Amino acid sequence: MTNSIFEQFEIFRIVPIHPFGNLDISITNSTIFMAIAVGIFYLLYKINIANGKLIPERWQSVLELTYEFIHNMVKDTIGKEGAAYFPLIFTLFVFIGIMNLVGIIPYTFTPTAHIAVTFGLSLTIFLAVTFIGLVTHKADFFSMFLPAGSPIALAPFLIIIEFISHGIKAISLGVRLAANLTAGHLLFAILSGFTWKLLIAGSYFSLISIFPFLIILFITGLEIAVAVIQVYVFCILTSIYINDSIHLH
Amino acid sequence: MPQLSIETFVTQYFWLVVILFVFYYISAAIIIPQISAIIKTRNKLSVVPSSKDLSESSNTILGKSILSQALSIKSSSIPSTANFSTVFKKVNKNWIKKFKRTSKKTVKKNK
Repeated sequence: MTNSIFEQFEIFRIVPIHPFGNLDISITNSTIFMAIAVGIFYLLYKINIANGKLIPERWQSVLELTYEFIHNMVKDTIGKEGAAYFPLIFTLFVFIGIMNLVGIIPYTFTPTAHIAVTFGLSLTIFLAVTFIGLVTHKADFFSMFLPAGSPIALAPFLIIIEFISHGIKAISLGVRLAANLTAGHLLFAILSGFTWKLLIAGSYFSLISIFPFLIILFITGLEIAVAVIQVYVFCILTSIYINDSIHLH
Repeated sequence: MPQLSIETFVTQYFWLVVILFVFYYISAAIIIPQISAIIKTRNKLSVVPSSKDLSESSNTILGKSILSQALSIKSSSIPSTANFSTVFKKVNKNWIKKFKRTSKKTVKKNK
């Protein structure tokens, strides 16, 4: 039974590719759904933006609103220098957002529910942020670990705390996204299993099964919200980290 | 728990990097410039009428013709983005320029 709950996260090798001995870069269902995200975004562009109108139609204004939303977010958190990072944040937002939302459809796969994907992203962002800070400020970057105006007696503790809080960025960013999506999908699996069992139990139980079914409908709405909110959190934290390393608090 | 099976990590991360790069390329070189072109063109052309004006003007013949004209303006009036490589170079150049500027500024501030 426990196996079937986690079945939805299973990764299948569709086209096995092993170029150098043990190195495994097979095309899996995870790859397929990432490619679907790219396809959806490109289709949205091709249909709406490529022959965009001055007075937008539904999907064109969705894309434009996303653009302006991210633009304002980056401007508010990073400031003027943020313009350079806008394409990155926009790409992250749309890419993860589409993957999350597609994952809610039954019988699909969510690449972002996997730690390898989100942790890979967050570790890359962490390295990039540290690198940006070091390039911009050289050795001054390390002043970030001691907040200005703090008493020197506390310095040893503060430096340790700040150092940990800088390092933990890499973990928290990725684990938050993966854990939220995994939890949501597990809830779906458990509730739908429960509903099905009640339904086939016969007599009164079949009638009662309407309630867990309604709960599933409610949870679906909740999960759509979670999918969007988690991308938003991911992107706003990324821009805050970039801001931290450009402006040093 | 399939999330923790280490043997799938390399393939997932490899394809994430490849596809994210493609995605970044598409959005930074093609889509973002076009969306911003549309928004900028609209801001340039827009004369903000009050809602009363709009409802009145759409009843007159002149107002109707203006509205229909506005509706028929399509992206042909919007300069389409240049080809891929030049845009990408431009994006990178701007990025480097901005980066140098900001680093200089912040260094000065700290001194």
